[in-house]
Amino acid sequence: MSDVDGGVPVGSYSKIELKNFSIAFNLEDQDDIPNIRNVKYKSSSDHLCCAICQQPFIQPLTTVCGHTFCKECIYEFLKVQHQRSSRSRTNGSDDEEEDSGRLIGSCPLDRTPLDSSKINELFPTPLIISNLVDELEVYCLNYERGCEWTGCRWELDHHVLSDCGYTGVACHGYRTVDSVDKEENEGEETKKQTDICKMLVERRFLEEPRSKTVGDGDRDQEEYECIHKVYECTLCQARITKIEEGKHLQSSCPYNYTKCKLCFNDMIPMMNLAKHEENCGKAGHLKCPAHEIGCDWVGNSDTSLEIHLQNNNCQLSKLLPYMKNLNNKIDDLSKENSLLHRQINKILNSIISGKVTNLGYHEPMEEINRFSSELSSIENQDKLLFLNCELNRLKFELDDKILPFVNRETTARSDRESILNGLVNDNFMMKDDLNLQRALVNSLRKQLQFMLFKRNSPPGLQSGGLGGGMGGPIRSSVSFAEPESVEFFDIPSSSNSEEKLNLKL
Amino acid sequence: MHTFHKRILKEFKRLQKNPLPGITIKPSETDPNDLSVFVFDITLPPDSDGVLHSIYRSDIYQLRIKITDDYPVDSPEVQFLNSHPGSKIPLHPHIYSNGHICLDLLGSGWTPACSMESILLSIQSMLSTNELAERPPDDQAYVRTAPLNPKKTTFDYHDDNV
Repeated sequence: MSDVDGGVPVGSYSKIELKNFSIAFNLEDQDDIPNIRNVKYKSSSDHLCCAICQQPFIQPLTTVCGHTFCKECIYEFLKVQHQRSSRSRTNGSDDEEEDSGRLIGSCPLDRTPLDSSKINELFPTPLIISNLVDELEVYCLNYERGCEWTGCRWELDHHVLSDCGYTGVACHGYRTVDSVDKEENEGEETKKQTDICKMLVERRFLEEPRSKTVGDGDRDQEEYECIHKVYECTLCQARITKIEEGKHLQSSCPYNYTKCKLCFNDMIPMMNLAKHEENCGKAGHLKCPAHEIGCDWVGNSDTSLEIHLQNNNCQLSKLLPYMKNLNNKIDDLSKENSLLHRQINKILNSIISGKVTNLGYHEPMEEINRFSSELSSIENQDKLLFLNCELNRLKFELDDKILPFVNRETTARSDRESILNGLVNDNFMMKDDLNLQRALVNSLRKQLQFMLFKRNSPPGLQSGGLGGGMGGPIRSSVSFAEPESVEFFDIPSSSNSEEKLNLKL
Repeated sequence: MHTFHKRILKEFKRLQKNPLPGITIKPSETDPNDLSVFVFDITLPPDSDGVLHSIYRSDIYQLRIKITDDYPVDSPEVQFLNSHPGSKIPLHPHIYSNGHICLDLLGSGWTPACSMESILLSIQSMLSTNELAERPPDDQAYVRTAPLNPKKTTFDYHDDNV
């Protein structure tokens, strides 16, 4: 095999194991500030990256040609360019460097001449860009040490400086100088020297002993006991420090016994527990049928399982069918729920996109119904019910509005009928009157004819004639004053009036 | 650790992830703790019609890119290698027989916005557009006096054709 792989194997041709340098932050001095350049970004956009360092901008500056760079990067570049050009210049003439703050160069992207001292050629980027960059999500600088914090870049400083438990800080604990020193200076054997520890320690280790020792107020000197102090593990006499204690007990102390849950052997070292559990003689191969809902029982034989299930030993197995039933129901309901969800979303979408305008009665109902294969009957019933209600409501409304009109109409009609009846009666009465009048006129005419006849006949006849009491005085006045003219006038007039009457009747 | 370690890492990861056609990186030459020397195998990829129209045919050349301390503010050291058995320097009017390359991108034309990728691409295109299988006119004289570091040479860039 080694012969075959002697050369460069083709398969692993482009694989290099990359190593990231440690970026974890140590707060050794109060003035230390985390270097934001080292930070690892969760996500970033190429547009927010400096062309020089190819990382998201830090304190960005913008050039007159519109390009943006980190302040540090562009100054570094301009410095190199400046040095180069001034070197070539000083070769010719003996000009010394001018004021040191002024750097002259060109934009790395399009070579526009730049003078760093001119504020309009190199100026701070608009705040929106710096805000965008500061908002980028980053990991904690101490993520290699296990810190799981993530957040905006602007929060990082505060987190690392004051919150992060993985930031390295100086121990500052008192430490008793070890026996090595004692042996060297044998005279001061009994004297215990104390010293302040300067070693670095992650902050999370420091918090704990500090709070513990606050209770022992009488031991002032050891209030901040150095956590690098080596002591012996109470179980195995291995020499450990506070920092290593947890790890030691977990994985390397051979006397840190714990109890196996299966075989109840309490002499299993914690470090071997996982292995033991794999191979434990009592490791069950049979599980209680109710293990899904939390029964921990495991066993080796069917008989033990039977015993387990009998005598109400396993309450959970009794609940099992019920639980399964419930689970099924829940499943069904959640399915239905998701269906309804989709329908609602569909409806909302179509309302928003303007397909449904008249609140629900519209064309894309078919689309919605596509989802509702099983639920359509229920939905139809609902719709029917709704429509019935609507119908009833409309009926009542109609009655309310129409009835007064109808009533008014009927009364008006009866009124008119009675008026008509009155008119008809009047009419009859007038007819009777008319007949009466006609009869009267007839009788008068007859009287007149009779009287004319009597006048024309001899006067003897006149006294013995039909002349009544009424006609006496009139007849005498007429006949005595102008008998000729009366005759001449009277006959045609009477005939005229007769004709008129006849015509009228 | 290099000041711009993260940039170099990023460039390198991109080259590994999206390799350029005809260019492979040789991991055996790169120290993962350092990431300052990269060696690439360069061949010319066939044209779109699948045929290779080039005087270099499918020869493989080795190119070394040495990242300087000033990178990316300053250009890296770039040269062809002939130290490995079977590797040779391509015949080109701008490439000297000791592997030094006369290309303005590697000198005055460099800006920090360039990258290893842009160097590789421009050298590849420099080879693919060339039709003269010859050395530069002053090859003998230059090679006799040339410094080891090609960046120490001040080239005069005069020919924009190839």
